[in-house]
Amino acid sequence: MSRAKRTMLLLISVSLLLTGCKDRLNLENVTLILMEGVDLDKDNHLLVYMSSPVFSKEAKKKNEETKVKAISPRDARGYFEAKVSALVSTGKLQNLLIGKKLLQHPYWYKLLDVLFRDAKVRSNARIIMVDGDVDDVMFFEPEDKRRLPLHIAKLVDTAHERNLVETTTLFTMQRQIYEKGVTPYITELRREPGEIRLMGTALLNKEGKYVTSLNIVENELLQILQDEKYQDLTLTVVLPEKDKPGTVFHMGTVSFYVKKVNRKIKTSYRGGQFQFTYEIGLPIQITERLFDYNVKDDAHKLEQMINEQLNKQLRNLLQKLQKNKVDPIGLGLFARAFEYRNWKKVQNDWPEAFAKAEIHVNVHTSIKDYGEIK
Amino acid sequence: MEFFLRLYKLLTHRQVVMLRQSREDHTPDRGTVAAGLKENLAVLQSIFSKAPDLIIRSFIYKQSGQRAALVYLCGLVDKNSINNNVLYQLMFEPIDESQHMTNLPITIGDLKSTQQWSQIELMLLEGHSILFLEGAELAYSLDTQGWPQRAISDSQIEASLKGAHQGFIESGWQNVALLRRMLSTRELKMIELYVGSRVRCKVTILYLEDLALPELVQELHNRLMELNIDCVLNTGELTEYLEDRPFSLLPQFITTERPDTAASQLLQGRICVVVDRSSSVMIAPVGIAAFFQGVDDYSTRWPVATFMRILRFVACFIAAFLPGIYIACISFNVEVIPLDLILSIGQFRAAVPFPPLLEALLMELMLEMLREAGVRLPAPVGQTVGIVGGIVIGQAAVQAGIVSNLMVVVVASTAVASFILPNFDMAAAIRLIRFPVMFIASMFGIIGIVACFMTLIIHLVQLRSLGESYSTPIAPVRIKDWKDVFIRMPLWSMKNRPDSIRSLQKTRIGPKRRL
Repeated sequence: MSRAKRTMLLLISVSLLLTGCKDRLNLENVTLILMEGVDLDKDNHLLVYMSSPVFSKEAKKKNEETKVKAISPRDARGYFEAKVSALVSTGKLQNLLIGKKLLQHPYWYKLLDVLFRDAKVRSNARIIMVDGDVDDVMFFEPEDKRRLPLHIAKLVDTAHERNLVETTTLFTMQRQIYEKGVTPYITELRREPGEIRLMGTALLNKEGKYVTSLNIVENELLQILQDEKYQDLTLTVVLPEKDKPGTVFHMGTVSFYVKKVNRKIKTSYRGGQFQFTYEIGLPIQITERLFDYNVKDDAHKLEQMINEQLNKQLRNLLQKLQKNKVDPIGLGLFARAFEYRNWKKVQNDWPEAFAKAEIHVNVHTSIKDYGEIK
Repeated sequence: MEFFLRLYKLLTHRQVVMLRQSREDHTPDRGTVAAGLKENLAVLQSIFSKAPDLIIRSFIYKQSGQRAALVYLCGLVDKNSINNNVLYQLMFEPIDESQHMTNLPITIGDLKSTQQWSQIELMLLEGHSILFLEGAELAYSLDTQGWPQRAISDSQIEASLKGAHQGFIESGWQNVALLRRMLSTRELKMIELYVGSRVRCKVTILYLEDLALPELVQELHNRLMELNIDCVLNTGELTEYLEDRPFSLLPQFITTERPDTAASQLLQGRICVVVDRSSSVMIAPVGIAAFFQGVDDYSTRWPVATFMRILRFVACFIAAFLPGIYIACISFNVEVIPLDLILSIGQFRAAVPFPPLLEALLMELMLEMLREAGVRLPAPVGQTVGIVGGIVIGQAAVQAGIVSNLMVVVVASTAVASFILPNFDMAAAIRLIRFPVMFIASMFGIIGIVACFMTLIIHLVQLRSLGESYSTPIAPVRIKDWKDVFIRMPLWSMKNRPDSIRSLQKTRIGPKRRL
């Protein structure tokens, strides 16, 4: 090797080292945004919030929260950097809180572009609607809970495991927005004095505008309709036939644990409207029954009574969805799969067609287990 | 690299020149033995000037009435056999007319006659005693070797639970004997040669003739013959001169203190080199897989041995890369750490004033010092050093805010992992690899670690041991040989010798296991 070549090699290796150090960022120099919030103030200015953990032992509080006024979330980042102690990173973003006020405005989701575009953003961050001001949630510091971002993340995840709320992440949000056969839905929470409470699921229309909310019970039923049951799904219904007067309790109450959801949907198109027929088989296990009943002889009749109540509740839910023209179930996908020609005509305005559709629900429960006592 | 090579060549060349000069100065050719005893003793005195341990015993040979002298270096001979089997016989054995004069009445097995002074000198230095007779133009060398040596005991460095508890010792012929005991077959062949220009050292090449490739034996023989060095005190020294790539971090030969290890390697078609005065034996050629095979692997049941084998590979990876990965994760790729871990690491790190690399270096250096200190000290003190270092310094360093808790965990697990490897040389090499990995990780993050890993693999693939591939059977893939690499299949399933070690005979045992 000649002298020149050797010098070259040396220079190249040294220059490698120089460029290498550029993107180094030690953990203690990172302000990890765990929760970001977007909201509008009363003059319709965009407010961006962030919450990140503080590592130093000298700090009294575990978290630092900041609020800035900005044109967009990316624009807010510069203001964040000017206020927080270290360099901002969204690589571990857990929750994205969005104010109800912001959700009233169509195409708000375009604000999330930076989060979709940046490869370093955690795409599993949960999108959550705040019923009220984001301010109240972001600056809330419950004393008996861990850091709020982690508390909310855990709360949402466990509630979702129990089918109480739906969760939507940045990743799944993309699909819900751009998929024609379904409308988006996100978790909903509210700041109550002293605690954070999950309200259920917020339903959005195709433009992302907030339409209506489902409470926790409705969400359980929605999950049956979606065939997306996670762990425990326990329903409680009051059978009017068994209700007794003369007491403050609902004596006709029966609770049961749904072991499995066997959903079948028949899709057809008749008379200018889509027709969906749900046949839902529910193997159940009775977990609570406040009335006396002779299950040995009349098990079938009990199943019938439960079916009736469930049918009623599910139909109410479907009516609510149709009235509000939102389709979180994704029936549009069935329409496209089975009635493609008719789907093509309405594909750009599926919620409208969904509202006009005729939907029948038939629940068939079968009691598999009564527990320790008959 | 080129520069180093040139420097190396320059240095060795000068050494050779110097050696030649010294040789000419010190060992002039003195010709052959004279007839007169007096002249001979005078020559001997001049050869061994200033050697108070040279004993010359003059006496009258009873059978012929000749004057005679027995010469030996005290300390290198067995005094019992000199007194009883040589001197007594020569001085007091009654005259027997029927005996021919040359048939000495000495009851010692190995008796040779020689005329060359150079030969006599070497014999004396090796512990033979030399008998001169007045009027005879030759001298007799008697095998009365018996120098101080320790008993055969378990090897300290390669302890084994279920293997043989005999280790090699510092005398070459005993080591050869131990191997002969292990492999009592006439196919065990030996080539003896001497290495060292100033001080000769006997080196024995052992191999099984029906297994080892003749060209490999020849190659090793040539390399040994080409050696031109002052003196070899240890097998480790010899391996440095024989290596294919002297600048590689990785050991290219195995040195072992265990006869059973050496025997099993011989049985696979490899070659052993026994160096006199050294308690370890060199094995060549070797591949990377051999460094992960312990003796106990073959004496324990195969599922257990397999588990141990996998553990060693994992440990090797941990020992080389864990600190690097840790540094890369907390200085570049924070996103890959689970959130809860980030929060606790963040708390630890916030208290530490140094960058992760410096923190890691500090701990690693401390660890290496502790290890070295523990090795040099006698066992009870060594333990104390371990405890003081491990617990007191580690704990205090964390409390003082010099290093973080997790770094102590990382460094300690690295240390434990590096001690799992059965071969000391390989463990030491991997400990060294860790440092460049740490540096590069702190500059390039995970990409740097990947680059390090690739470089290491490239190096492994191109490395040779005695001209044979180092990375077989992994890199030139020999799937059949994988029975004994990452896992250890039952012995009865290994019917053939490994393909990766070229040998003359492929079949090991009969085709079927008798159940």
